[in-house]
Amino acid sequence: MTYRSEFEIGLTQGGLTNLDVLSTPVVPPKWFYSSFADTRSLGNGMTRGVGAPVATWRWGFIKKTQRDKLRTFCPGVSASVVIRTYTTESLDSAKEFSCIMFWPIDAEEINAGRRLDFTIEFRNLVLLSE
Amino acid sequence: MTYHVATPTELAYLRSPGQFSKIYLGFPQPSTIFTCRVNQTFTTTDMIREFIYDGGTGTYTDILPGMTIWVGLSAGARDVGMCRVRKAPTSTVIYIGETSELDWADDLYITVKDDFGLWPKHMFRDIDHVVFMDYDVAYSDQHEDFDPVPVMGPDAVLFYQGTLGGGNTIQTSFDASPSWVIESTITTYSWSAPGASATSGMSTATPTLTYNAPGTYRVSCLITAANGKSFTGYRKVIVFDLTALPVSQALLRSCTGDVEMGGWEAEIELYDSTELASIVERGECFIFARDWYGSVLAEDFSLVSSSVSFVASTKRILNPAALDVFTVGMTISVSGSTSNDGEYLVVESTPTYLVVAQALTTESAGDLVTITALYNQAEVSIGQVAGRENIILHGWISAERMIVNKKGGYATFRVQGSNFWLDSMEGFMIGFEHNLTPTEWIHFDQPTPDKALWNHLHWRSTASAVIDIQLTGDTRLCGAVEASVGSLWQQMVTMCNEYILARPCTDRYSRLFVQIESEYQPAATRSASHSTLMQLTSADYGEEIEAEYTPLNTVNQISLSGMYFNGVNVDTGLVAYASLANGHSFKRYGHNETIDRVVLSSQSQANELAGLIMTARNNPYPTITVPLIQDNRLLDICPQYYVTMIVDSENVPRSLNGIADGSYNLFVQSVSYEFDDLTGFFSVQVTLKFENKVNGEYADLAVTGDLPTNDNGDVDPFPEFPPFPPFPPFPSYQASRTYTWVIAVPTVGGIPGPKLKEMHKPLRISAYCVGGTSVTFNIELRSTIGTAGVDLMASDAVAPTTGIDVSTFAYPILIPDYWLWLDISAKSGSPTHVVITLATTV
Repeated sequence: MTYRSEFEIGLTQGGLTNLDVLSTPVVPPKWFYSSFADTRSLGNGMTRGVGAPVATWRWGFIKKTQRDKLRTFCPGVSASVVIRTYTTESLDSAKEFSCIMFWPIDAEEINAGRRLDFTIEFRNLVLLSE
Repeated sequence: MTYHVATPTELAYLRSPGQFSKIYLGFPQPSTIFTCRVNQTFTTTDMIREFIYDGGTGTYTDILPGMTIWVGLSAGARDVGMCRVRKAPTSTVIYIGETSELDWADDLYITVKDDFGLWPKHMFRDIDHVVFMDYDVAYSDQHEDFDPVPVMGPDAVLFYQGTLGGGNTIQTSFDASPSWVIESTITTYSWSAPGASATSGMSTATPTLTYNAPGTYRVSCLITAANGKSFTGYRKVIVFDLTALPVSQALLRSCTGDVEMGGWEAEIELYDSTELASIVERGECFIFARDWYGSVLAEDFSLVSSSVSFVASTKRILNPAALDVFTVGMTISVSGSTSNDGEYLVVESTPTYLVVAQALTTESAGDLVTITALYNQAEVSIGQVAGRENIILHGWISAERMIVNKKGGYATFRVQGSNFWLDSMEGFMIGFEHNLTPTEWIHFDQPTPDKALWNHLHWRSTASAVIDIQLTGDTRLCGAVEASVGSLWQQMVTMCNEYILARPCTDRYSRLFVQIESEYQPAATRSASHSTLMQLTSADYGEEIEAEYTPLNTVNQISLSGMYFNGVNVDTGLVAYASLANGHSFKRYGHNETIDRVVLSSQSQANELAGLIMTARNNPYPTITVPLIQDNRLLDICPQYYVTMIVDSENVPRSLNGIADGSYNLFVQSVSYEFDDLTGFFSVQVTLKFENKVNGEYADLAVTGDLPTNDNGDVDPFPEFPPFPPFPPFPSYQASRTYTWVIAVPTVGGIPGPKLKEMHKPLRISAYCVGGTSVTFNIELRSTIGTAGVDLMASDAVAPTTGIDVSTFAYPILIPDYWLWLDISAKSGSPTHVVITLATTV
């Protein structure tokens, strides 16, 4: 039985496709998830997480074809997409979110036809019912 | 005036982590009701009140008073300007609110939009000095049997997260039960909602409306009072779905409501050129949001209670309140129970019970049970008006700033609430006086500031039709009420503040509340009208609260005077009162303040009011600035309410006179929203004012003051009070024409008159004969000089030697390029002359 990660992406929830089975498969990324985009200090000394959840997919290196496949979901600087990604809560369970995908605007580091330290950020994550 | 007090569930949301919002702009796109073209020439563009049209498309009877008219050089354009439908049109004439700002011309394109805005209504005074409202509404009984005022609730903005149609619908509701009428009661409600796919309760105060397609829809409510009068209010429902999205490429730069300013304003940036092109200048704008509360930090989002019980048969977890903070789809953790510790999926959520997917064991309350959210991100908006919580600000665009750059540029818009727009409209002088039997617009039987305000908002503007209005309810009588020329808002402030120390204020829905300021209300009234909306705790505010402390008195003496009116006779029914707070000796510090012309009911009331004002002026904590780390749109600047605050004592550097312990009341003075577009976090900064007390009382010491005396040492009525009888309202300028026939030895037959060069209204025909007994005549309006036309008078008039005046006409308009024609049909005796004069207005 083939192990399949739970990283999925699509333009709609119904169109979610696992990165493993995209027409150009993309290897599972290292992932980061935060329930909040920022924190604020409260008068009681505690800190409140505020803002929408943020998720990040990072590849130490990624092939150009795989990079170009991801680019189809975000031809511009940002795009509305739906993703399934692991969270860091509830036993690191995977959840589906609508969100804004931000394409990296810094110069991509290219080495032997591959992008190094390639990172895509997803903001304004809204949990979708499954 | 009611307001929504924070519920335990809402407080839990406000104190939950992970709050974020998405901001949208909604620009109503009202449909076109009727189009046509102007069909007349104009010799002047001054004071145009009606025009002849032709080429109509649509049904002219669908045009309603108050609708907005676009006037343009091409079909559908508004490049010439806009005006308001004044009254129901005829098949040839559209009546408009008097205007001189449009360059009228034949063949201009007219587009009547299904849009009701805020407009001033101009007054008119004819050559006999008779005053008319909105140009031609004569006084009959309007100040005895008052028109009711519909309070329907704010406009609604709905955003369906899917595609409407095919069985997908979205609902909203209205509540007109706060509608009111002076000296009567509301008896019936009759709603209309063109475009709604389903409705219910349309003859109740609280209808429900269903829509199955995006668009801008009109909702109207005709309310009828027991006095027989009725009036219609208009609101909008704006529906979006995923096929018709609101504007989202916008940044909310600022959004502030301030009691001193009297309302709200916001600044927004827009980038999308397509969306920019759709915005109408001075157009209506709704800033609204989708809001999410709650996330995964269990310790911040849990309920601990010893009242939790479990029912196996229904899979219910019960608690007396606040369970609905755990929403459908959330996984919760239960701990501390005897038999039910574990994780559960919520499938139904109410304040008093949750239904979960997993099996439960029946268990009574008693254990200290902790219910924790394991994962939640609830989409819910929290605000003052049910079903309108998503609205951040309803206003109109007052100013634009265009930024041109190589990145495509953008535009900044300032959106301001109804207070700003009423402050931007000039009003004629206001004067009302007591008259037991009102016969003119300036009469009220027993005037009150509320009656004057009602006239102001109902007859001198369209406000009562398009925004919710709540007045003070104060019943103290005035001999007269007046306000000089100024903006409609400034006049309102004058009538409120000078007479009863009240203040008009609009909330972020543009609802207008006129209330006697909290600090000037005595204890009994204040406790009845104020509740605590919420208590601010250290879980609500950020690290720093800034309190300004002013131990130095700013006022050392209040000298207050005013008048009681018995409601019968302004010559004999007035009693003057004067009061001094604290007394004849000044306080050690501060300056003297004199307040006169106040409406009073007794000496004791005068003394109490002077003491209240003194307490309010010497507030030691006039400004307390509190940053709230929460998306809190419950807090608004009106209507007036309390908040309380608890600050941990170890964090208070000096005594705050009880502010910090939660037992003292605070008033909201301003609210500012800050939206971080990168994180989606919507935070609030609120400025509060301490409710001051002196020795535990609201009112400081006060004694009976000294009434002015004349040269003989006798007490005089106040030289400036009561006010001088009000001046007649300032009329719009009267332009008139007269056409006179002087005919020697009149005979039966027709006599040509002049050809008209502009549109007139006949005002009066005066006639008399010399010698003989009488001459019988009529005046015709002829399109062709040789062809019979229409008679201005329904029946011929008889002019005797003593003269006759006729002011009722069967044909009320004199059309340009038509001829006047005098038609003598009979004579009696042998008159040597007849003199006939037709007076008109332009």
